[in-house]
Amino acid sequence: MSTPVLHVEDLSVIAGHGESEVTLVDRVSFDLAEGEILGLVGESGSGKTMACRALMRLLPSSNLRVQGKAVRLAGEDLLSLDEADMRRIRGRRLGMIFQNPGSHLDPLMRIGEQIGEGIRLHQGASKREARAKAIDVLRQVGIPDPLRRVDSYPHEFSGGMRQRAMIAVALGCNPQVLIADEPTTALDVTVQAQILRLLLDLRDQRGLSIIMITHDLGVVAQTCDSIAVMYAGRLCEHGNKLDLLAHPRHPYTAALIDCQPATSAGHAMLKTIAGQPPLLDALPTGCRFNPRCLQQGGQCTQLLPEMQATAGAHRVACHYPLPMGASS
Amino acid sequence: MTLLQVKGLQVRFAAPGSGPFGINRQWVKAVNGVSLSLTTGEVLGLVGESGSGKSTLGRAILRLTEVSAGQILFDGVDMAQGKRIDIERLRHETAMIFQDPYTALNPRMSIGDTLAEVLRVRCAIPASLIRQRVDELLTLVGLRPELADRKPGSLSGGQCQRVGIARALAIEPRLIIADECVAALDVSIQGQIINLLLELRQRMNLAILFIAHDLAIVRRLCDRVAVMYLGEIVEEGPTEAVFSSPRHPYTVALIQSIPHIDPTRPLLDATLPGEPPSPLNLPSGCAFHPRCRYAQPICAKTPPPIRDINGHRYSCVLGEPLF
Repeated sequence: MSTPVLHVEDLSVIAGHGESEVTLVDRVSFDLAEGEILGLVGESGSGKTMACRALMRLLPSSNLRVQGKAVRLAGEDLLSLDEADMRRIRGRRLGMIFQNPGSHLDPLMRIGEQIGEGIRLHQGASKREARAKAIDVLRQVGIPDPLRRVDSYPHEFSGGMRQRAMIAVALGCNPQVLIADEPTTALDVTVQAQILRLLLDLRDQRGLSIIMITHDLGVVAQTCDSIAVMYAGRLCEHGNKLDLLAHPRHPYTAALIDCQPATSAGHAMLKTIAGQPPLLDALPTGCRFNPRCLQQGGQCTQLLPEMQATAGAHRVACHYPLPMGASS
Repeated sequence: MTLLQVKGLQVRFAAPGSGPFGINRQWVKAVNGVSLSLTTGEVLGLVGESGSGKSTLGRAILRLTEVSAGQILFDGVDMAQGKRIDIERLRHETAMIFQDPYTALNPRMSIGDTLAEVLRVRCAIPASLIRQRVDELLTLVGLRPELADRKPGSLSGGQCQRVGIARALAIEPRLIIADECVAALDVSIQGQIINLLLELRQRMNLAILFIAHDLAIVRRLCDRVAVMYLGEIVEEGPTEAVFSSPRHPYTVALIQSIPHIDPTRPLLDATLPGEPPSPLNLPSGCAFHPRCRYAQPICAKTPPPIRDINGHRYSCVLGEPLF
């Protein structure tokens, strides 16, 4: 693999100060290659969205701090940039789309203007150029009749169309990396399939790298190249999709795969993970998954496991990883 | 024993009309002539895209929405024309579980009080026994009785959903309508709630109308499944029959669109193009024909025939199974 487009090393997000300090995202590291789709999975509250917002430095509160060794986008260190420089990166080289397009598009602005705004700001295009570019992008994301639709308002679009429009806004300036935060969760299955297909096509045509945040392992299995699993603010396993789904090494990943209501039949009870994720201000000592884990050893309650490479690029943070080939 | 029988149910809403004073009023046919039945102890899954009228149908059955036409026979009594006293009885014997567990509970009331209120109003239990019954209900849904003093805000989503189920069970209903009751929960918690419903159904012989868009869960939980499209049921039958040999092209597309966890299975090209048309202006003939890849000229003209193969019903001109 060539040098990664995005290199993230020990990225943390910390809330509060002193005694009341809570680490929401704890030393997350990963690389993203050009044209790679990385699936970031985990339960709600595991820090998936927070980690990606930290990359963009779009944290929801000024109370939150980002720390880390390095976040390099094509060699440029984003952590050392000030807010003005970060603005140049955001929207131009790093794009982001959200779960609910309805609340992330400006309801009072025509779709074409929303796409054009970024193009004019970042690329200094004239109004007319921006409009032509907007029509072009709308066509690429599969919106029918873009010449007319460019003047529509978001409320005139259906849910799937709005998601396409938001992707068009994010793609306006040809970003290298697109962060997609649960892009299909709010959509129907048939429309979800259309949007996933669109993201795959964009990757193939433009070499776009995508970080896809999702909780649906089915979506990940069908679209991503690699998977990173988060639990309670930490990355617990990261590897190639085929490897990780067939031979999960972390007990949490294995349990997560097991409790999918797979399309098998029968009224057998579904498998579940007993208990609930820990609160981030009351973490168990040792491994954060240990209260819910079925295979425990002596070290689990003592020491927080760090990410370690197993085979090839497969990394796992567990003292007693499941043996290779122990398929679930 | 047939508990619930719905015949030709219609629900329509007024849409803001055009012209002066909205004179050209239009009607949204949210539920357009639906018939279904549910026996005691049976779980019927109701699936379809958003806007297909699933929730409206569920609410109409409990008379939480005005019914425009049709019959809702509950225990043989027509609730669509029901008098106040009939509807009182209907609500004594049916309950609803909602999608968003946080907004369905009163944030200012402790969950113990929430349950106690239902018991006091609906069940006429002596005040001295209420606390004990609340503890029983919480235990039944797998919550510790100590949680009774907590407010919804301090509980997790899964715990709140369990409270929602406990509240539905408080009146010992014979029919529960569960509207997307696990859609807002994480997979690991989803399983816990589904298992709870499976267990309660067996123990209490409950009939459940399970409204969902997640077909994988429906396949696990339901005895029969009905597929809705634009206010109509287009296919209905035993779960395994519908999933293994779907007959209606819409059902086929829905089943093919389920993201599968098998990583070697590629993402299929758009299984179904476009999105559902507006219910304000339903297509002529078969409502699905503009998106159907098997559409024939006749589909745009006349509504499709209803076919019945051993209790597996579907409305389509195609006679042969699609796969």
